[in-house]
Amino acid sequence: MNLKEWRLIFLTIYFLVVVGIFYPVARPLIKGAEGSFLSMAILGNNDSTGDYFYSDESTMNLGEEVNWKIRIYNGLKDTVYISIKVKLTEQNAPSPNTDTCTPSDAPTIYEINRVITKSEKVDVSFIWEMGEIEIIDDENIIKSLVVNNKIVKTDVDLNEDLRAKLIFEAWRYDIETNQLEFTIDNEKEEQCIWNQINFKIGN
Amino acid sequence: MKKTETAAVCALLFLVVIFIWITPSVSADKDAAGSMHENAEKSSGIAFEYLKVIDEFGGDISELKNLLNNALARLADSQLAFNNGDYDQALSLAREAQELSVDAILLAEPLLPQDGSSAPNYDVEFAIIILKTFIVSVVAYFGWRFLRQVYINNILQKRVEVVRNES
Repeated sequence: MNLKEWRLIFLTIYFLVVVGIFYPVARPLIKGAEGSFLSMAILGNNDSTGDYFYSDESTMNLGEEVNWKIRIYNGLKDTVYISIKVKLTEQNAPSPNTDTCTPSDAPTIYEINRVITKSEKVDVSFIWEMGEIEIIDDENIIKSLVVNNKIVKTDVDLNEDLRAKLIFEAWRYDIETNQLEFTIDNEKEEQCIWNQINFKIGN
Repeated sequence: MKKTETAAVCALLFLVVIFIWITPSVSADKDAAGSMHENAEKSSGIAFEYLKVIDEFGGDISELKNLLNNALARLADSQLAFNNGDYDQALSLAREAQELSVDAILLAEPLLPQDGSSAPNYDVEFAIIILKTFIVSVVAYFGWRFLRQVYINNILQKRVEVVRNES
């Protein structure tokens, strides 16, 4: 081997050593730059974002149980304590506002609380069926649901067309204020995570 | 007053007494459940703060996380029972949540970093890496010069030997 070849080998080794030195510090920085977000998806009966109901796309029949999952991925830079607040309301009621990060004013009927570490994906079962519906004159009132084998009492007044929606809001525990907040800060912007599934109550 | 009227008044009085007797009891149960739920919420919040600190310092949080997740699940169930008007159940679940949160706090305390230590500082780490790179570069530079000199000396030595052999 001549001197030029030796120099090439030497430079390659030098370059690899420098990369090795930088790697432990560069890795978290590179990961951080990849994105900082929290995501939530409601998965239907076949673990996909669809197939929420059996009979057709949006009819929930009485006595029918649907098997959903709430999938949460923590792409934020640290561990979070998330509370998924599930709300039931009639379909024309306002949804949460993404621009102002205002949650729905419907009461929370069910909560799921979880600590989720960085880069962790969590699937939470949400198996539910309609419970009691009270019909008084023109009013149809959902008195209860059964969620994960637990009776959830509600008092949601629906219109004659029996259309309702389930809203799923992700709230994050803030250790500065010691309370759950609907706004999830990442480095770039304020983010609020919610999802809703509309349905009609069938026979 | 007729017998029927007397009976009706007695029944009414009886219902009033029962109502007065039951109402404070229900209210007390509700208050107790609400208060215990609030305590459990505070405790789980403290446990979460500890978990975050331990996580930032690179400690093992797996057991702590499981314990806290159990506490938070009880807390959610307690809220559901409370909303359903089952205050006994709500109180019992909130108490369980409180106990689990306290267990999590007790588990976390020995894992917390000692006073005076601080979370990993990337600026300092970066400075150390620059220093390491500088040292490696200096060593590489002089190392290369030395090896090149050895190589050249070796070649020259061979040339001298060739000249000697030829002469």
